[in-house]
Amino acid sequence: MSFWRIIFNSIRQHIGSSILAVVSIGLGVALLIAVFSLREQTHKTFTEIGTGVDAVLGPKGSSLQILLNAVYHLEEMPGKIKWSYMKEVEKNPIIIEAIPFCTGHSYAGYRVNAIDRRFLTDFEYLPGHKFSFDEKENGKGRPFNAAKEAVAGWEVAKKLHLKLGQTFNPVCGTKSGDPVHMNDYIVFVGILAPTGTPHDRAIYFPLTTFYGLEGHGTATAKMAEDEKYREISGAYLKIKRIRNGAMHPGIQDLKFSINQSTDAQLVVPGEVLPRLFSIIGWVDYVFIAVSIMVLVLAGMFLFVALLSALRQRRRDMAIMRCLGATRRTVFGLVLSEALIICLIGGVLGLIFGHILVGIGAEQMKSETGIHFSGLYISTIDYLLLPSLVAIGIFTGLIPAIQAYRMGVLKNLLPVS
Amino acid sequence: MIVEMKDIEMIYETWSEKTKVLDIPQFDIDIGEQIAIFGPSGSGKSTLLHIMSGLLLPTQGSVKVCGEFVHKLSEAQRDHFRSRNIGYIFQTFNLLQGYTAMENVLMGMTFSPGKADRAAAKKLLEQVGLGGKMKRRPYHLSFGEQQRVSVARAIANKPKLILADEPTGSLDPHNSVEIIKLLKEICKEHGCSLVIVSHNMDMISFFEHTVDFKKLNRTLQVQEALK
Amino acid sequence: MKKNIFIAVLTIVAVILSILLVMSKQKNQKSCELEGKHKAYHEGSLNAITQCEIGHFEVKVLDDKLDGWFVGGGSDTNRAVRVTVDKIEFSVFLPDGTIKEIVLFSSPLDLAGEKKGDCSHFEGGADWLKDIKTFQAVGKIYFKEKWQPLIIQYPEGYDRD
Repeated sequence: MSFWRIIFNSIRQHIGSSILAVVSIGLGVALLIAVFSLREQTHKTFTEIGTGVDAVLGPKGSSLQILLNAVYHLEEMPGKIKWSYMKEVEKNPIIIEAIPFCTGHSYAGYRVNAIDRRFLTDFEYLPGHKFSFDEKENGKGRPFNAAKEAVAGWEVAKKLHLKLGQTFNPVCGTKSGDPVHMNDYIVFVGILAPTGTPHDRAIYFPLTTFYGLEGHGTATAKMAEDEKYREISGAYLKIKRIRNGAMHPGIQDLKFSINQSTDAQLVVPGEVLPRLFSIIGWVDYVFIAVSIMVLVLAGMFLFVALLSALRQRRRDMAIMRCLGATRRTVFGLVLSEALIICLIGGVLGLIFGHILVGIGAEQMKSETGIHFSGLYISTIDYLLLPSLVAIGIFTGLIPAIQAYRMGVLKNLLPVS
Repeated sequence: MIVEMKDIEMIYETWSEKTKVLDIPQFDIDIGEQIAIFGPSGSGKSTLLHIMSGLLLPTQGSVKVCGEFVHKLSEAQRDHFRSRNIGYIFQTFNLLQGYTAMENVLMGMTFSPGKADRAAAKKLLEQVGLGGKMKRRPYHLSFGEQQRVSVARAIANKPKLILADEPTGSLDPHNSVEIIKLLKEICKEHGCSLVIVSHNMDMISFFEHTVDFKKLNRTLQVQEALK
Repeated sequence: MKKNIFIAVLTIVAVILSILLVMSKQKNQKSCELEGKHKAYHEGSLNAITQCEIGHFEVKVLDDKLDGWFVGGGSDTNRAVRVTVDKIEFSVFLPDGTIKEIVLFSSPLDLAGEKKGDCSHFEGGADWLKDIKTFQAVGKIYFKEKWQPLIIQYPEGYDRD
């Protein structure tokens, strides 16, 4: 009979507590996997994936809200700024380019942004990378030229099965059903090649179209013709770079000046996001701590279960010793049993954790717009195996030592 | 000789006293011999078997079993020695309750060198008359059947010496006879020596070579004299 | 047996405490602000106007140019505070004992909607600024509806408290 057979037989003999131990370890692991996966994917979405936006000129209000709306197509812009103000800012010598945009519409759950055409032709979403419509890169069509034309990000086109020439009605806000623009038909003339940035998740049409939408009324329509009255949600700013690709240090003075005004502010993504994560960082740690506590409790349960099982199996151990098993052998049997229970629980927890993220991903995407994947491999996935081994050793060590020290003859008691 | 014991003393110590249980000047067993030791309960017969098997170390004396000085071996070495050379049968069977009859027999092979042989285990169970009950667990077997499994397990690792401690103690007279006959037959067939201890004179009568433990153990003689 | 359980429980508690201790050592980026050290927005030196809570005059010297910003009191050093004067005269005390004069003129931040007479930013220059690393200066400013002494200690900053 093999060593492993003896272990599995032993697990089978106290199957109830073994299953409970496996389930509790699995739950703890699943929780850790889900927390780490979501945490890392969120962090990656907001910090690692470049967007090409050096700074956003936006209205007064929450800088985080401005950033989330302008760059990540979430939330809503807290106000508007004057076109003339943007033009004043654009004169600053450290500004290369200012690309104005208007947000506030959507289609089938995806944001529809009015934007200057230069966004599609000049804007670099990553250093050296501009938007493409090349079919070889999975793009299609061309940038918009006329008023009632639009282009879609790659992900939007894929999820909505968009085709060139297809028309749509944008709606105000993010909820469908608003009839204001039911007579405004805009045709898709281009699909952007995938960029791996939040820009894949939006639809873009000309600024002039925004002002001219039938549902907006005459006051807004006037903005298309007269810059004096024109308002925008904000503008993407491209800042000059110095040696090593760092942003021009003049950005700080510029930010100071703009932020003192009553009408606008300058938001630098690289400064706002770390603040966000430092604020929500503690929430992260609470979740991680809770998950670890669950795992520790599961480990304690396993420890108690093993101790209890050992008490019942003293005679079995003594018989095995009689048959020639050494102290080391019985030590190994008990320790291996703990390790195997941990590993089984861990593997099940790993699978369950990823399934949990996958199931939640769709719901979270529709609520927040952030994309998660159940297949994402986080740091904890790599640390899982050594951690489980450590937990198994930790919980099994004392029972194993007890088995090692057990006397043979005094435990060979009669059956009844 | 399969067993050579000289000047064996076994003294149990507690907080308050020392008790000498065994005092055996000389005890030898020939290879292939089948010997029955009889004596009253609690006289130290089981202790003698434990010393022979290496489960216990004598307080003093020399124990040579199957060519090895058992008293000089470390505990792990004695465990290995036992797995290779000794088969043990207990009064209370001492089967593993969570394992089938087949698995109990295989367990007898597990700790000795070489792989556990399912075919050999099956053959042994058939030999002891349990060919059709291999997959039953001990609580589904009668006492007699359990002891048969115990016999099969004891022989499974092809030992040179089988030690049986009151093997019929829990059995009725019919099963007792069957077990004794089975033991003698199997030991003869497999060429292993057999030492059986019992207080049941009916069972002792099956053996040609018997040993009166009272004459072997000087401690008992002293106790008798004191009475 | 009881001893083994006790040791096991102690070990588990020690592990949990270690985890919590590691987490609590996470340094907050703003810790220096929380500890009461005010951050100068332009990385100049902050000089309290009479008292830290009233306001600050942030001073930065680059080559022969001196920039100054009137900003808020306490930790509100990111907020510009406008003053009505067009110029500020300073007597500058150099380390070698000499005294120089320097005048800072208002330089409105257009994007903030400032203009002369309603301005938070001042600038001036002098050749001798290029060669000095440290100085003290005294002037006065009409700030929060009264004339207040304006003391600069460069580069360490001034706060009488």
